[in-house]
Amino acid sequence: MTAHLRAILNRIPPVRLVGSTEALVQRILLAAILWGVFSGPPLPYPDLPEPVGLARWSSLWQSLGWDLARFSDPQVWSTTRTIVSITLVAYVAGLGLPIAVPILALLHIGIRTVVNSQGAPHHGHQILSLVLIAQWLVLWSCAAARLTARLHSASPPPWAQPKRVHSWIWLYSIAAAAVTYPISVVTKLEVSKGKWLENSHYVAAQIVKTNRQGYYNSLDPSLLNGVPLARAASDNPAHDRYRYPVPVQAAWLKDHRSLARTLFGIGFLLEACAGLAILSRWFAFWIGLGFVILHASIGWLMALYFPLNEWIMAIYFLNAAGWIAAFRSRELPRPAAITWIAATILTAAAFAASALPALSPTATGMLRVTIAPASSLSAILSPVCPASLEPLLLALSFVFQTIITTVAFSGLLSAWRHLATRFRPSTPAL
Amino acid sequence: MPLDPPLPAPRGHLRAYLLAAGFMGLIAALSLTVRENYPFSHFPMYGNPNSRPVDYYFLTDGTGEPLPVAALTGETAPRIKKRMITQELKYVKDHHLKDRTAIPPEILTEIRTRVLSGFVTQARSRGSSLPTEIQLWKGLIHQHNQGYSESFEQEAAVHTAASSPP
Repeated sequence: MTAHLRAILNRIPPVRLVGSTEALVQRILLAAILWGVFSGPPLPYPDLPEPVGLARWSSLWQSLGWDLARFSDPQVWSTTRTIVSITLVAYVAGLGLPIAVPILALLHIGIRTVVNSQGAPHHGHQILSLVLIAQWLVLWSCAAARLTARLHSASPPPWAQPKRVHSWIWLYSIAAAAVTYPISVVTKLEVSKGKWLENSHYVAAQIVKTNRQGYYNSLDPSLLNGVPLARAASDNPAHDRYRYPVPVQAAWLKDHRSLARTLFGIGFLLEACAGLAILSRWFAFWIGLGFVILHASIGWLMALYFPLNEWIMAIYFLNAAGWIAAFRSRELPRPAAITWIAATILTAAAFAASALPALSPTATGMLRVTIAPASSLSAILSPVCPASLEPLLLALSFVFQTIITTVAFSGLLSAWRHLATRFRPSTPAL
Repeated sequence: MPLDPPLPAPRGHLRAYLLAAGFMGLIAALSLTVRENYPFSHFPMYGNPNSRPVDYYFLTDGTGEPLPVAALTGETAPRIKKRMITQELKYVKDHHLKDRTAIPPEILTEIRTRVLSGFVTQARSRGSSLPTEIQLWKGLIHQHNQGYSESFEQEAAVHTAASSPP
């Protein structure tokens, strides 16, 4: 047992060194997300009827001459956007990060606190705020260690060397994003009294609900396709006009309870194991790919989207720039040319097929799930990409998806070779 | 019986992972303790799937014709329910009730009307064109062996000229 534990511990690689180009790509992408978040109109909330988080300390803010609800003031919003623009330029350039990141973190937490203080908590932005807090902690810890060393005329500890900072930012961003999922697992077990997995097939009814809510948001008739209700009429004919068909996937999952439990169980297991993503580049990759596919599937099945979760996974967990850097520096064996070719052909086929108008909505939905990493990159960059550069955006998304597919194939091939070597029957001695 | 050798001391670099795991533990503990206090949350969505009917809310005009909630108010339809639950839980806490089912019906109507008035005010501040009356409807999705069925109830109605902020 002890020997096994020792072997497992010894196989965990040191935290990898993140290069400056890889870190620059990560900063550009995170800055694009933040720009998208701050590019909208002023918040439509002049007051905070149900204050949460920082908004609960209203007397503190008043003593500081500030009120969080002022983010709804067009002039304050305009100033906020100017500050964010300047800070994002510094962030991308890597200048003054210990100052830029806290500013971005506080402003993001500030505006989302206002949104969540309206009595309807939203769960799509916590992941971004937590990643910014993690980066803030890393930058201040390293800066404090370097400052202390300078005050004592000593050299800073190795972990606080500037070249290590990118690595800690990468590691702690993954930690902050990953931990949101096990929290959800604990809550599921608490609220359902441990019966979440057993009852998970009932989530299928939530698919009907989220599709209904999606329809009433925009009255988009495409959200009303499906199979008729079991009871299509009632005693009150005036209500029959609201009796729309049920999404096919909800009806199908209801009829296949065991399969529904298995599918939702896989998602539950992925959430429970998300914390392992900090252990290595490969763990981060597979867990991140799992979540991008999971969120894309939930979007397709339930019309329920968590874009920031997908995008954070694409930047830090899938981290295409990191794989290219590792292949170039020979830190990892380069994939064979045939692997690249196969990945390129498959990616091109998936891109082309997903755009075909003749496909059924189910086939289109499944195809779009397979190219979810590309869609994430495209969505991250679209707020900072003018319409004239759409073809470039498409090309970048294609390259990103091809890299991810190649890495996935390489990983699967290595695992297969490893297993084949391990279980190859030994040749008897002559 | 031979004793296991002592556990190996973690290699130097493992401390980095232990620290990151400690950071995750801290965030998890904080989130599960303070719950819905941004930027923390215990993420309760879809936490208790069961066989009970599933409810959702939507808005219509005075004739019962559905209205596009997002375009009208700038909010998504799920927020109607979230705001009502927040106000109901507040009432439960303030009046030391057992749970939301103990809230008297007239108070529930009052809460629903207040939430609907808030959405109307928000729609007006966006400059949305409003019908003379807006109704709040609840849809209930029932789960049977044969499939799904739905029932509907009108929960509140507000004359847009008379609505005031919640």
